[in-house]
Amino acid sequence: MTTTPTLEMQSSRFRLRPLEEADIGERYLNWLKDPVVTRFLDVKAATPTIEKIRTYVASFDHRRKFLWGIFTLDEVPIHVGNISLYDIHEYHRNGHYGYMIGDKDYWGSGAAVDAIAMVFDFAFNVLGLHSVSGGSNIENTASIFNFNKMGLTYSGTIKERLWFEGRFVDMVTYSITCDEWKLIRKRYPQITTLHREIV
Amino acid sequence: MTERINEAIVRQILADVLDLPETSIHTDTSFMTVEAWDSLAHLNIIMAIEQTLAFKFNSKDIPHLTSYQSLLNAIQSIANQSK
Repeated sequence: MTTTPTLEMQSSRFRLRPLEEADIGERYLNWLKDPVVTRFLDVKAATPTIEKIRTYVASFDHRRKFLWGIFTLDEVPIHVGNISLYDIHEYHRNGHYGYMIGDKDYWGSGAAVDAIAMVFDFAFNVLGLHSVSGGSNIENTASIFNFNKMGLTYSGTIKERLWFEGRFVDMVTYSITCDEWKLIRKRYPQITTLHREIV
Repeated sequence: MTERINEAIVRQILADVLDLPETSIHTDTSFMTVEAWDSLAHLNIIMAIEQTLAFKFNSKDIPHLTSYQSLLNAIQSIANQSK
């Protein structure tokens, strides 16, 4: 491992970069106050504040736990959501990812697909992970659809793992290996990762 | 006869939601072959089919009905159950 990878990546539509202090403001806070945006997120369990967001963002050290903002490529980039890679296990070379498209105007824009593809590139090409997994409330149709769309395969169901709208519901887990991603990756030629690969 | 009608309805809905010519929808059309078939488009496809055919898919099946053929199969399965 001879190079320090940059954490910035870009597709033809969106760019990922670590969040900065200027990104933590009312816009971000309003996402967390929106019950439609947070319906399937754990964050709805607590009242959101700017300070809590700041603490959350600061908890990512970008060594074993990564958080990127998803931005448009506009001259003044618009912050539309976040994606994270965490629970990274060096021995087993695996990790877990999660994302949120906070700006509902960008639902259906390809932001999630592009961001996930870029993070998978980072996980496999830069960090050298062997597999990445994701989990979802079984009732989160859009999230499970995206697992399938991105080529992840169903790993299992954890019974009544999540408290959701007054009852316990199952959580489903999906995963993808490095070799599987190499095959799926060909579907996303629009995504150019700008980071350097570890050699 | 009903199957033909269902095929036409699903083809029309896919074409409308995915902004594709109806003639381009065929048995191997899926979320893998159409970039615009994303999670939001998928929910719109499902809602449009449910509204048009006046039934509900099994919610656990919905994320996996990701091709023209799988939608038709699910519709047929529901039709058979209701006979």
